[in-house]
Amino acid sequence: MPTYLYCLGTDRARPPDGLTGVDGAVVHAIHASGFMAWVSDVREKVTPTVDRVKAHDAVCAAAMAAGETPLPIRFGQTFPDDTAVASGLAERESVLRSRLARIAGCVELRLVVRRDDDPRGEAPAADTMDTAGEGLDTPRRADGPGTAFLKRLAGRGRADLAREVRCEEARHAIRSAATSLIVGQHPCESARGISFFPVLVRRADVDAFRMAVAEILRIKAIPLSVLGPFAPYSFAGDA
Amino acid sequence: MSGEVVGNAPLELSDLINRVLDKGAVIAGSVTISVGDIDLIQLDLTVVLTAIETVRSAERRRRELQGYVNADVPVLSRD
Repeated sequence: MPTYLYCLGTDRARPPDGLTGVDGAVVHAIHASGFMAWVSDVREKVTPTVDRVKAHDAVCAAAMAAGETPLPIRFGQTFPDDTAVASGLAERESVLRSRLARIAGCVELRLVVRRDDDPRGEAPAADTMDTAGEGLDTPRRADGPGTAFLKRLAGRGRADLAREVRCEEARHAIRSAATSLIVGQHPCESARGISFFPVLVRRADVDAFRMAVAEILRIKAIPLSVLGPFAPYSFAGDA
Repeated sequence: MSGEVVGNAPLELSDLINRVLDKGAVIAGSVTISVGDIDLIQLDLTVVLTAIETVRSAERRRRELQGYVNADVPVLSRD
């Protein structure tokens, strides 16, 4: 039966009894090449669903709670069996070991700006109003469906860009004010209606970082949510 | 916290999906792209995701150099 891989670490932490993962399968550990990999049996295809994504993340969170910070694996990686997992780990041992060293003792916090937080949002902005007081983004009675569609599209594009700019502003402000608390940071990204940037922080510094961010947000009045801590997905790859 | 959204399920769900589907280490394996119940393409996950990571790294470097994204967006003309 195929094996699904969630995360791996170098400590001996084993999954707690009864921990289940994708499709309710029991999670077990494989020890190979000095790694402890948390896996479960699955059917051949693991297509992404919300429940499966949640289950994957829950296993990584359980691993983080059980011991050292694990290297989280991207969703959807299955192998023919446990032996194939061990072979995969052996082939990439050196790179995996360096990535584990990079995230050791740290967690990921994600700072998120939503589309809904953007005051320009879908509504017409003041600087796009014409002299007659009609917003260019607001469909007029005389507008055809094509014009109205293009205006909505333009408004959405402006809202997305404004959100990205705000996210970059927040990132620069936080980087300047909390440099000593930040182990790693990536630029802002936008996907699925939100803009965000991930920050790698030492476990012991999470509260201090949150307090620093709260102070910056209070001064700058930037609407931002701090999510986490999570297993450091954003710092586990080739970045 | 100012601006903190507590218990915002849609926000957390969007972030969860972005994080788990788009990030994390790639060991090996493959993925099948399907439409409906028809399998169309079998992809080597390592090769494809490495390529994507390379593109994203280049984009990150470009944006770091650029600093802020350009906020000057064109406004539709009434003509």
